[in-house]
Amino acid sequence: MSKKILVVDDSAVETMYFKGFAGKIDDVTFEYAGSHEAAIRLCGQEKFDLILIDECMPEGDAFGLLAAIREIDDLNKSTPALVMGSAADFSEDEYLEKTGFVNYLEKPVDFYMLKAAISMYA
Amino acid sequence: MKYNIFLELSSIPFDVILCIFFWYKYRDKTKINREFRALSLLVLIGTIVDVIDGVCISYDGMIHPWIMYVVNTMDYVFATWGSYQFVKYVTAYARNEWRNTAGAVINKTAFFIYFALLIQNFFTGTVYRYNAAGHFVPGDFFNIVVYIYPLYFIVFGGIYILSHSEKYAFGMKVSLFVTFVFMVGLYAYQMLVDKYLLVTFFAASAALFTMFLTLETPDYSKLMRTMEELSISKRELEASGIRAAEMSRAKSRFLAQMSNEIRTPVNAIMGYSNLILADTGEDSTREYTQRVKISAKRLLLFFENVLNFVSEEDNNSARRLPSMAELIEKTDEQSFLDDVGTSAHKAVSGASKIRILVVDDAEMNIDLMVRMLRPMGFTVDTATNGKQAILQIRKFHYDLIFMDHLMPVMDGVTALSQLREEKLCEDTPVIMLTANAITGEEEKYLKKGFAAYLTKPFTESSIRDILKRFLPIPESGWNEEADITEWEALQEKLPTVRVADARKHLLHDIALYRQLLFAFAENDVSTELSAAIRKGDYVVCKALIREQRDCAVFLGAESLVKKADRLEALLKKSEFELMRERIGSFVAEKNLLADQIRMIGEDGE
Repeated sequence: MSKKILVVDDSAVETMYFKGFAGKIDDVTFEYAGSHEAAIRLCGQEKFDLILIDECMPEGDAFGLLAAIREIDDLNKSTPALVMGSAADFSEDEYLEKTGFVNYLEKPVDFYMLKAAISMYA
Repeated sequence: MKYNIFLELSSIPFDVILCIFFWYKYRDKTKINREFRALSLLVLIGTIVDVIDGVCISYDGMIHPWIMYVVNTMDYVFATWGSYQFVKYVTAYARNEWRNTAGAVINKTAFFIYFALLIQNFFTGTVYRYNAAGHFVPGDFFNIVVYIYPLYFIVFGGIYILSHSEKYAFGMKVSLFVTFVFMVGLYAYQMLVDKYLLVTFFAASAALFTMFLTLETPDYSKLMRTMEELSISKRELEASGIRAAEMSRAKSRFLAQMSNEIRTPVNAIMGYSNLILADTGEDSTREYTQRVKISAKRLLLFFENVLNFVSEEDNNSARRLPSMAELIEKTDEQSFLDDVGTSAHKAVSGASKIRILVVDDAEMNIDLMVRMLRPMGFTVDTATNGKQAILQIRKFHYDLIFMDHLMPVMDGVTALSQLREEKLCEDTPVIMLTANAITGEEEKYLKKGFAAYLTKPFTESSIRDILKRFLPIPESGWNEEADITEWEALQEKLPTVRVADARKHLLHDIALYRQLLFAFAENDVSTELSAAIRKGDYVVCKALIREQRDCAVFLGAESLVKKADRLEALLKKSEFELMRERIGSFVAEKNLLADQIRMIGEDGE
C-alpha cells in the first residue's frame, strides 16, 4: 500500500516544483489542492496519511484550514499535518502546539527534508 | 593287567602338547576357539582318568570300593562331557542361531539327567555297583550311561553338521566326518569286540588332532579383524570427507556474508566522506574527513587481508597464521593518500535521457548512488530487493542497472536469472554491486550473466568508468573541461541567478529547472499585487509576495529573494506606504528576470 499525501498550495509554480521531485519518492502518491476549498473537499472524500499545507495562502493561513479539515468529518481527524513556510514563523514551539501541526517544513521544500518528514510522520 | 591301557597312555603326552599349544597360541576370545580349548582339555583329562580307571579296575580287589566308585564315575562323566563338548564345538559355528533352539535345550536337559543318573547310582547301584567281593557288577542303566550317551552326542554332532553343511568349509566337513567315523567305529569296536582295549579316548585324541588341522588359525581371525577395522575406517573417512565438503561450503557462505557485512558500512563511510570532501569549503573539515576516509579504507583492507587469508587456507593448510602486524603492514597507507575525494559532481551532457536503476537493500548505499548519479544528470530509480527491481523494470526501460548481490526477499543473482527468463531488458547491462571481495569469487558473477561487477566500496570514478563503458554517451559528453554543460550555459544567460543553488534544490534535474523557469516567467503577479494593495488586502498581498519569494529561492534568484524579504518585513511592521513605494522595484526585477528567461526559450528553439 502506498502512502497518500495531500499537498495544499495555491502557487502553480511551486506545485510544479514539488511534483518535479515528488515522483522520485517511492511508495507515495501525492494529491494536490490549489485552494482551501479543494483541500476540504478532498479531505471529505478520502483518508490521507499526511497533509502538507502552505502557511500563507490568499484565502488565509494554514491553521484555519487545518481546523476546518479536523471539523468536517472523521476521515482525517487524526491525520498528521505539516505546515510549509518560512522557518521564522514557526521557530517557537508554541505555534505548533497551538495549531496542532506536528512539525513544519521550510519552503522551498528540500527533497531530503521531505523524504525524512514522510518517513517520520506518514 | 585286565585292560590294555597303552594306546591311551601314549595319547596322554600327545594331548598335553596339544593343550599347551592351544592355550598359548589360540588366545583369541572367539566362541569357536573357546569351545575347542575346552574340548581339548576335556579330552586330556578324560584320557588320564580313563587310564587311571583301567589300572584301578585291573587291581579292583586291592582298592577301596569308594575310590573305585569315584574314579569310575569320573571316567563316565568325562566320556560323556567330552562328547557333549564336541556338540557345543560343532554348534559354535552356527553362532547365535543355535543357542535357544529346542535341540539345545534337549541336549542340556539330557546332560543334566545324565548327572542325576550317576549321582543316584551311589545309593541304588542301577548303573553299576561293586559286590561284596569287590567285583564290578553292571546295572540296568549301564549301557545307557557308558555307551548310549556319548554316542548320542557324537551322532547328534554329525547330524548337525550334515543339516547345516553350508556353514562349514570343505576341509572342516571332511575332518568332522573322519572324527565321526573314527569315534563311532572305535566305540563299536570296544563295545562289541575287545572290551578290555581302552580305545575311546585314543580315538578322541586322534579326532581332536584332525579337527585341529582344519581349525581357523589365529592369523586368519586377526586378518578378519583387521579387515573389519579397515572397512570401518574407510566408512569414517568417507563421512569425514562429506563433512569437510559441507564445512567448506559453510565457510565460503560465511566469508561472503562477512565481506558483505564489513563492506556495506565501510562503503557508506567512504561514500559520504567523498560527498563531504566535494561539498565542504572548510580546510579543517576537509582534513578530518580525509582522515576518516583513510581510516575506513585501512580498516577495509585489513579485513580483506584477513578474509583472503582465511579463504586461501583451504588450498594450503600448512600455512602459518599471519600476525596482526603483518596484516596491517600489508595495507600500505601511502596507497590511499593519492585517492582524495573527487572533485564536485560534474554533469554529463545527454544524461537526462538516460534512466538508471539502483537495486540495493542498504538504504545508505542507494542514497550514495543516487547522490552520485543524479548530479551527473541521470534519471535514477531505486529498488530495495530483486522483486521490487523486477516490478520497476516492467514499468520502465532502463539503460543500466546496478544490482546488489545479497538482499532480502530476492537476491541479485536470482533477480537477474528471472529477468533473463522473462526476457525483460535483454539489452540492458546489469552491473553486480558486490560486497564479496574474496579473490576469485568475482569472476563467477560474469559467468552468471552480469555485464560487469563493481566491488564495494565504490567511488565516483569507478562508477564513472562503468557508465562510460556501458552507456551510449559520446566521448565529448564525459569531457568535463571542454564541454560547457547545460547548467553552465544557463548560468551565462541568467547573470542575476545562482544556478548552482537551483541545481541543489532541484536534484540536478535540468529539465525541471527549465520548466520551472518558464512557468515562473509566465506567472505575472504584478496586476494581482497592485489590485490587492489598492484594496488594502494585505493577506493576499503577503501570500503573493511569499509565493514569489519561495519560487525565487529554488530558482536561485537571490536578489529577488532579498527584495521579497524586505517587502514582507515592511508588511509585518504595517508600513504599507513604504511597501507600496518599494513594490515597483520588486516587480521590475522580476520582469527583468522573466525577460532573460524568455530569451533562453527563444535561443533554445
